[in-house]
Amino acid sequence: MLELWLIRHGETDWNVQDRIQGSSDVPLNAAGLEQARRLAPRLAHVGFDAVYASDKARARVTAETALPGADVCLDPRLRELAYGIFEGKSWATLDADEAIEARHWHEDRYGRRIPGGESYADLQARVAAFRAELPERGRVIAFAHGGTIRAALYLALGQPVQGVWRLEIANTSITRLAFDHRGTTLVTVNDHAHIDGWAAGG
Amino acid sequence: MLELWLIRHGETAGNVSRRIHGITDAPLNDLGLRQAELLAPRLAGVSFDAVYASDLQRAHRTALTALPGAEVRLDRRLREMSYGIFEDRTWEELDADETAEANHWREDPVGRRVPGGESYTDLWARLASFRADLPDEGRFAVFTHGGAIRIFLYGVLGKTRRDGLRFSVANTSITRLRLRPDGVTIVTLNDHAHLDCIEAPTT
Repeated sequence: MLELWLIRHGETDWNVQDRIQGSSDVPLNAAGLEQARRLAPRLAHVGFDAVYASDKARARVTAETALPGADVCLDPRLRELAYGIFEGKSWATLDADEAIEARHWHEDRYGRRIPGGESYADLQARVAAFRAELPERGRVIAFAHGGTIRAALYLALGQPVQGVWRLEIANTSITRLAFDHRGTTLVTVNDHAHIDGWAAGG
Repeated sequence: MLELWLIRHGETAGNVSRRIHGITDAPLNDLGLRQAELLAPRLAGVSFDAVYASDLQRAHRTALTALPGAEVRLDRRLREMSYGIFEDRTWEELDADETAEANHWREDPVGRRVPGGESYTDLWARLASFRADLPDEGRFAVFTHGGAIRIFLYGVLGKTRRDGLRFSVANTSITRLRLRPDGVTIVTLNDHAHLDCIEAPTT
């Protein structure tokens, strides 16, 4: 059995400002660093066979802070969805042309690429390729992004029969999956007890 | 928006000895009570519009311990699946005929009833009936059982075990769902961070 722990990065200023980050390299803010420090004791005694992180600063620094001294393998396949022309902007304040592009993309986020960016299918393919190269046994941890973690979960959950399902993935939350010959077990999703009751601004 | 906090009961002696406890009314053991006490501060700041529990004592006691002073409404529909002839046994101690019955049931637990007991479909029908009686708005704590939480997840997600999808549900874990007409949000699944400081929980 392979156990995969997926950790979302800590908070950034763009998270607070609701700006779309994607492949933009935005650092953790003070609250994000504190979240990563609070995560550390929860990981200290687990024992991981390998530690991976997206090569973006917010994920890499979350890894270095939450697992001090660990040998972190950076993997660009763990990056957030590339949001192309939308990066740095907010969904609420797009101009008229951008809003049309955004609506068009939202109609088919799997099939359509954002201009200058990726589709959900692109993201899922990256995540599936990362997953496929992991060993069959052991426990590994990957510090990544909200979209990346949702993609890994959607790979397990498949598409909803009707309507949509949504997944909350908080900053520095822990999501654990286990893989064996029978399929995928959702062990925990979005455990962020270490920041419960501690306002970090979103 | 309807938000459900589904909480599994604390540990029982049967969980440890791997006895099949569907509707067998086993009490919490010492660790189970401790788990419920550790859960309490995690629920203390949360306001619930109502608190429900299975009428089996392991769920009821977990609710009373984790939410002291709360008015707990007991609901039989939140019971674990009834395991019929297998209640209070272990899978290992069954004789050859009983093992054959168990294997027959396991081939189709959704469609087949355990002799003298229920099928997953029966369990889902009870849970769906409970859910249908809840209002469309509000936050509710629901103290129930591992099988019931799993079947509820499969039900609201429209999945089965045949999809190669399983869920861990530890004793006193919190699973939070938001249910809207247009879909389901998994807020957390099997959050048992309050048990980090004690031994590894049973899943």
